[in-house]
Amino acid sequence: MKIKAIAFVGIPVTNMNRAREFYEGVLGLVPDTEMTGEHWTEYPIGGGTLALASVGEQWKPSQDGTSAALEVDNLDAAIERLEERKVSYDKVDSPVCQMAVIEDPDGNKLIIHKLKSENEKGICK
Amino acid sequence: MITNELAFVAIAVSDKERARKFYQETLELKPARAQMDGAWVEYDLGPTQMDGAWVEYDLGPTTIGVGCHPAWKPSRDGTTIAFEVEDIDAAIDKLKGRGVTFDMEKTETPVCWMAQFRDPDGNKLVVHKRKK
Repeated sequence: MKIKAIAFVGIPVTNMNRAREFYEGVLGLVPDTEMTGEHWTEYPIGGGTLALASVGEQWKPSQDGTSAALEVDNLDAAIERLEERKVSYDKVDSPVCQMAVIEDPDGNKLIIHKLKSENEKGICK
Repeated sequence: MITNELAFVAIAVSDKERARKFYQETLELKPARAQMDGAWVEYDLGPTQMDGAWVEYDLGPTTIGVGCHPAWKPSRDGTTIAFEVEDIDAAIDKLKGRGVTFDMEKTETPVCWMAQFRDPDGNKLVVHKRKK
């Protein structure tokens, strides 16, 4: 079996409008309009795709489990934006990066991530 | 505020050796840093947090990190990774041959085919093939 890429990272949500207000209004992601509808929204990020899915009981949000980390160029500015929009966060430092761990309106965990500059070509990537 | 990069996708597992076997042998993912010979990176986030372990797999521009940490639990719900494969029937056959059970058999959508399975901790995973 040859896995050649991550096709997408899918995040289950219960209310597409509320979710899009968060992912677009707070995080500033821009949807791919061709792939966006009532049950599915795609955000191209670099070579990857982040997708929101609203498909009911068969796929529910969770505060545990798999989580997407989104790279920012300025963590302090990102945190200011989160505070402005009343999004609570846990700040975590690791040897190679700094992170603000947040939840979307459905409670799915997201990581706002900034590599320390000396590691931008290093251990996390 | 987000740069044009998915930093990584993190998968929580409870048993690092079982997870290593699954991600490296069943799914045939190659650990990102060959010089470490696929070993887990043990990390310590300081006195307030417990020790954890982490291994990375690069897939095109995106990195998957499989992590084991007492405060971070797997889930049967929540965020999911879809892996793009060349031949979805062959991938499904191979995974079934390796004892993987599917909770959604191959399904066609207007733009793709996909099938859903679980890692040993119950995290949801998808094999996916885009239509041209």
